[in-house]
Formats: sequence, structure tokens, C-alpha cells
Amino acid sequence: MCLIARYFEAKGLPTLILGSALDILQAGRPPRAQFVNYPLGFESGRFQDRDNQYEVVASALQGFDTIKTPKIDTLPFEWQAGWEMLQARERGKSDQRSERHNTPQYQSEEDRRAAEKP
Amino acid sequence: MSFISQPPTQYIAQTTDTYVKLGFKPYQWFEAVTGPAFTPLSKPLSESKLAMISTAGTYVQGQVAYHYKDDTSIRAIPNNTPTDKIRFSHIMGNYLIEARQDPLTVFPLDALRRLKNEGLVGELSDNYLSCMGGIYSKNRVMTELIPNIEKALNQDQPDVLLLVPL
Repeated sequence: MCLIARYFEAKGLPTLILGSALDILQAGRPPRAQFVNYPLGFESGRFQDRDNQYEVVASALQGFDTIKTPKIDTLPFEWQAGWEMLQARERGKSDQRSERHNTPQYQSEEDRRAAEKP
Repeated sequence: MSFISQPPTQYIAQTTDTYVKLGFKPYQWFEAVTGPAFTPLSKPLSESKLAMISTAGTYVQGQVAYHYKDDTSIRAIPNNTPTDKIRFSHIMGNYLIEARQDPLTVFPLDALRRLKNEGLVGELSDNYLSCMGGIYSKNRVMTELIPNIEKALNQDQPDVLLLVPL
């Protein structure tokens, strides 16, 4: 993601990353980034919480007007219940990363049928 | 009420360790050796047209899903897509369990619409973009993925670009 941001920024398009992996952002040195310390999968806000989703995205976008030199800012949001939910779910499980198949991986069979419909 | 702050997760160390244990080929995150270019906005966000890219393998029901072997294709996702038609195909499916029930946790369609209606963002691109993350080949990101994105952005002519990784 940092590679993409840096490319378009260099072409003259201002970019901003809203991300939750601080170490990956720091390694990639993007022009503008907002770090939200939520578990991955909640970069734009808490589960089924429209107000928080709005607040996170609104706060993040302020970076377009406030960040004047390359910077990773931290947004003022915490979500302990989210981390606990994740820990409870992942406990005792090994990595569930999918195998790298080279065929489309649909979320459901219904999606496959919808895409393959002539 | 006491509150314990969660320290930032060390994803690179964690994933490197997991890949060794699983016998996967090591993944190399992009490590910048130089600082980035920086382009100031030509006008405030409230007057700017905003485009968005998601790397969560986002697609709309009816579109072809992504595959997991360095897929460098992109999808255009109309900004008025109903939330319940948003799907994800991504190798890290365990991070998308909730997003598959509430796609707005990684693909902020509603929040952006509200920001536009409130005048905090000037305009939204007709189509947002998505791609896959976790592509092993940096060369293919540069020679295939980025040109695909650039072509789409050239049609759309946004003033600013929001990137939302998974």
C-alpha cells in the first residue's frame, strides 16, 4: 500500500493511508498516514458501529488538511473490546491464511453463480 | 475507570514467524530506503474530489472475485453500491470475518457519503477501486497493478486519494 501511495504522490496526487499495521506503515514511509490501533479488518471503524466508523474516517481525512510534511499520525481511538473479541476467537487456532490458489475465490457459491451468469 | 492501552501489534515479526513455522516462502514487506515525495493539496479537502483504493480484495456481487496468487487486477466499485453487495476475497480471510457481515469496517462507503453530504469532502469519485494485498512480487506491483490503478484514476481525475489497506 505504501508503494502505491508513494507512486501516486510522486505523480502529483496527494495520498493518505488509513491503516492499522503501524510497523508496516513505518517500514513503507508513506507521504501521509493515519494509524488507528484497531485489529486488522477494522481500519474504517468498529463492527456495526456507524458513529465510530464515521468518526474514524472523518478524523483520518483531516490529515489531508493538517499533515504538511511526510508523517504517520496516530488517531485517538482505542477499542479494548475489539482486541478481546479477536483474542477469544483466535485462541488455540493456527494461522488460517488461505492457500494461494490461482482461481477466483468467491465469498459464496451464490457470488460465483452471479459472476458466471452469461 | 482504568483503561489499558493496547500496544501496536508487530505484524511483520508475527507473520514472519508464522510463515517460518508453516514452511511458507518468506513475504517481503516493502521497506522504503528514502523518504516519500510530498504533494501539497491544491485546494482544501472540502473542495476536492476524493478517490479510494481498498486492498482487501473487495468486489461487488456479480463481479469476478480475486484469486490468491499475486492477482494484479483491480475492480471498480461504484460509490452507490449497496453495502450488502460488497464482498471480499483475500488470503487473510481470518481478518475479514466481521467485515463480511459489516463491510463498512474496511470499506467506508457510508462514512464517505456522509462526509460529502456534510461538505467536509467536496466530491466523491463515481467509482472506488480495489485490489489484492499481499502480492509477493514488487516488480509485478510496479509493472502490472500500479498501471491498472493509474489508468482508472486517469479516467476519474481525483484531487486526493485515500488508501485503506487490510
